[in-house]
Amino acid sequence: MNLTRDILDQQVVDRTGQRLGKVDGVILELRDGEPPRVAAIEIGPVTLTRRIHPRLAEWLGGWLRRHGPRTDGTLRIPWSKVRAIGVDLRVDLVADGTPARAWEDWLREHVIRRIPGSRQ
Amino acid sequence: MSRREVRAELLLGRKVLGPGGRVDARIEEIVLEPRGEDYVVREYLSGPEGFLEEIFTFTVGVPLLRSIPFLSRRIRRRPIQWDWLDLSNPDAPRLHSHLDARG
Amino acid sequence: MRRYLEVALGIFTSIGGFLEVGAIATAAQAGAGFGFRLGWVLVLGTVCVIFLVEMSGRLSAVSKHTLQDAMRERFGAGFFLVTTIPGLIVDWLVLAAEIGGVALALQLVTGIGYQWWAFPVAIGSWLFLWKGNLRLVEDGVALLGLVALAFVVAAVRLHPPVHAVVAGLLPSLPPAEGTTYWFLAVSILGALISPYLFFFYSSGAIEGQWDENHIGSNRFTAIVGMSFGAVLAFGVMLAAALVFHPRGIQVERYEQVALMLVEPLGRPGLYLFAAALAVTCFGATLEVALGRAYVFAQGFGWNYTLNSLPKNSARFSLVYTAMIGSAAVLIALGVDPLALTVFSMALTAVTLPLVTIPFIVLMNDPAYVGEYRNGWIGNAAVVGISLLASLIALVAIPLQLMGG
Repeated sequence: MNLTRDILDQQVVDRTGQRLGKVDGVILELRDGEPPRVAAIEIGPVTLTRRIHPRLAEWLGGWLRRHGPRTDGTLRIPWSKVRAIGVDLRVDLVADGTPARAWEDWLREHVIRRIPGSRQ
Repeated sequence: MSRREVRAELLLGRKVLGPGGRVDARIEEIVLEPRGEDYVVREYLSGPEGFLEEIFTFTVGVPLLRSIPFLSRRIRRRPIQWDWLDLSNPDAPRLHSHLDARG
Repeated sequence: MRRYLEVALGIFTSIGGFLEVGAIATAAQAGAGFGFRLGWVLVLGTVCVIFLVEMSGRLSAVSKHTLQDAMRERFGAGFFLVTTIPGLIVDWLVLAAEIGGVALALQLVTGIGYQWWAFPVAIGSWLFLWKGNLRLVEDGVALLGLVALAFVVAAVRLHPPVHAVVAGLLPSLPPAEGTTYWFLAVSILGALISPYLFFFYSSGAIEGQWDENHIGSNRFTAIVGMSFGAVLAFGVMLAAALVFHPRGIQVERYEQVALMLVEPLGRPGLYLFAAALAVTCFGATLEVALGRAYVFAQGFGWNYTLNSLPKNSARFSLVYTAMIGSAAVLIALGVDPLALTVFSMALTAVTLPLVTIPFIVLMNDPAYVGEYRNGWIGNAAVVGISLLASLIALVAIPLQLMGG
């Protein structure tokens, strides 16, 4: 299995079929005398932006932590939670309550709900 | 046993330094293999340095370049075994001194 | 029944994506300025778009990914972010032009200036997306868009000389005013071959849960749907060529464009023109806004669907809301819709290869399309036409801006 081709930038889907995000980052654990191990995948706009420009990522993270739900939306999922790799990456998690959903939930509560017609 | 973390997404596209700091190649792909419950790194795939590569890596990623058939034959992928690469400084991966990626 | 619904998607896509303010404006100006001579550009654009729409459907049916999904997965995040910015700017300008088209149609009928209609039109289109679902959007606009057949009726009633029309279907060099000729040529191509069309169509295929069984009907839909749009666009060019060209009238304002239906059809022609303009631009407004929202949601991995309440896809819903609202500002400020239209179409042509070339790569990658890979004709046609369009546009746009 190849990291770029099969894991990075793939769609992540939770236990209920909800979209969590794309795999924006992959964390490798370095060990003495053993090959590096895939420890976790990471989802989040800061993780994504860091691939383009680290300084931009820092700025974005700061902005996200100061506004709205006050989180930069980074979600790290241990590799042990990954259940299947196919069309999507299925993880043994529920999206609700995770930082990956924080901004979606905040926007729903504070913006969408205030617009008429969003509830019926 | 010491444990450290490295971001794979930042490792991709990094130049690999050879002995004496000479630039050898760029890491283009990380090949994994299962070991028990885990997936571990088996080898790193790399390609040669070049101006065209620089432009494409920065903007569109090497996968696009490699998709063009006649170009892909010119970009040789030379596997670097996991234990050949020193990741103590993840921003500057080095080949251990007794090895040369042009093997 | 299922085939009917899929053809409806094709016709809707055709009306909103093929025949909209861009195609009407550029075809009308082409007919007025050069008679039938730019017919070959319409043919080229139609061929290219049929290939691309069919590919959009095939990619989604086999890989179960939308085009944007597949592009991020195959080419990475850097590629996605870098190419999505020009696409966003161009889509935004096109969206403003479409809103302007509906606003102008309302001005023609009511006499109230188009700037005043900008926000009502924006709110109307937004409401359609907010409360509606994809099926309503597709079928509703497809049915209403049949009024655009008025262009074809008008063209026929004007008795076009068949010999001259056929001659125009072959590529030719301009008799004079070369800059304008090529500028119009790429504007037509940009109007016909619009990336938002493919993003929208492939998203529709995924929302419709297509699979390999749909490949045959997808081919049928693409050919029939886009050809239908091509016939409509051709009707516009012919009518303009027969009404304006003999008199040497250059089309500069939409009120003039309406004349091309008044001469053959009488007073009702004005209302038919306004109706056709309003419906096709309304459809395009929905498609462009949705297309861009799909691109964002699929690129970043958000939930997205039009088939449930907006609150279930907050970020997706906010993208199309913000797009429509901000684009309407341009029209409310009084930007000339006709000039904006033609310019945004030419810009579309410039950015075409950014979408079509990765698209072609995907269509030849067995990991995505399995055994349903492209034939060499499709590859050559798409790559050739889009590179050609882009190169000509890169030269023609600055020249036109300096001289035109």
